[in-house]
Amino acid sequence: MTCNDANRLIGPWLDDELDLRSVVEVEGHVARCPACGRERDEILALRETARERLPRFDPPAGLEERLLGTVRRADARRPRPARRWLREAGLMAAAAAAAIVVTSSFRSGEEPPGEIVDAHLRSLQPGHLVDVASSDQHTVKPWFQGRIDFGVPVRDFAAEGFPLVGGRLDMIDGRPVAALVYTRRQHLINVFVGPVAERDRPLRSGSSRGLRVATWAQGGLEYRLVTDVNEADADQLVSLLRAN
Amino acid sequence: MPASTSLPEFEQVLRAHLPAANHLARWLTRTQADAEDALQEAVLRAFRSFDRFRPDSPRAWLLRLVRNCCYDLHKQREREGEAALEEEALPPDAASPVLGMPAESPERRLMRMADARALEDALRDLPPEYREVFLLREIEGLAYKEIADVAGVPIGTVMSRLSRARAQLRASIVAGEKETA
Repeated sequence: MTCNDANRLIGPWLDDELDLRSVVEVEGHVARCPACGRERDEILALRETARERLPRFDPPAGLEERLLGTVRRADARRPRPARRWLREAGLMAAAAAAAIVVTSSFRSGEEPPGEIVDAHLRSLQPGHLVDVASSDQHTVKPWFQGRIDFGVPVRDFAAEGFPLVGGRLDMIDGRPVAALVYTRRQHLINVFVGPVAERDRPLRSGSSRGLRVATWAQGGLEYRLVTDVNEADADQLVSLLRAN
Repeated sequence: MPASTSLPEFEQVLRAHLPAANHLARWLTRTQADAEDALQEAVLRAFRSFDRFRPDSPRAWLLRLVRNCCYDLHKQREREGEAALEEEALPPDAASPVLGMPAESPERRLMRMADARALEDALRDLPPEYREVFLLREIEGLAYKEIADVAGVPIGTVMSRLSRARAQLRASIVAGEKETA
């Protein structure tokens, strides 16, 4: 690979937009070529400065309410199409499905959820929640690649009321797991995903220290969900994650 | 009392993505007041289309509307004789690669890239089409495909704009340092 070729690909490489084969080629070239190494360093320095030190322009106080006011006034003025009832019926069906899925709870002494609950509480400390903050599954999923040696299914459920806010690496029982973070109104939900020997294991749920905990295995991955949302909401997210 | 079942869903989408929307609007307009005008219009448009169309990526969808409203506002201001968005042509050699610049220590150049004030000024000097691509990529973490959706251009255009934005930012930061040195 020439410097010219590499130069064109360094940006997309650092943006996680290259296929694996090109990644290998660019990495190899950059490792050997000081000029292209500097190119990489400068792009990364710009990125770091932009992310950490550019002014953030947070929404000013009251902006959210003013915008929501506009929307509510617009909403109050419109006719109500009948097909919304269909969507409502769909939501009810989903809720019914969620209720059926939850079949058994933790028996005492079985799979103590202590470690998972600890990891959840740890994540609530300032600066611990996410390593990659993004509601976009196409940003979060590649972020995990190269950091853990298993594929993590990452999906956003904003449309269903559980927006993805990001992901991070965590340790459970001394093993690295991917933690996906969702929100439900003001509440947080941690979903820990890691490889497991058995391919599938039925869903178990229960509570521990006031938090809802649900665990299951699917496709060789163990899912452990912890949250302070109510049972119905937790069950809905569980059924969304299990649906596939 | 909400009149429709889609309103709560829409409010959630808006709440979740308002910081990104406001941030983009602030960078594409001059003042918070202009940003808010653009956001008001974008939110109305978004809500009107929300029932007919549920976006795959609500964030990219909302940002596209915000971006378009910022550009519309700019055109309107231009007609009114003001400029809310600066549109400066690129200097002729701005997009040229920085690789062949005269030798100086790599450490020194890296320090310049890390100068937040210089980056902010350089970013404000970029044409908005380049500025938005850089911000959507580096601040919002959007994938090329999503940036293409937001900006309404092919992915190839996103790649070339991003590459030019980076080259231009680095060139201005280095040039700015020399002026003050």
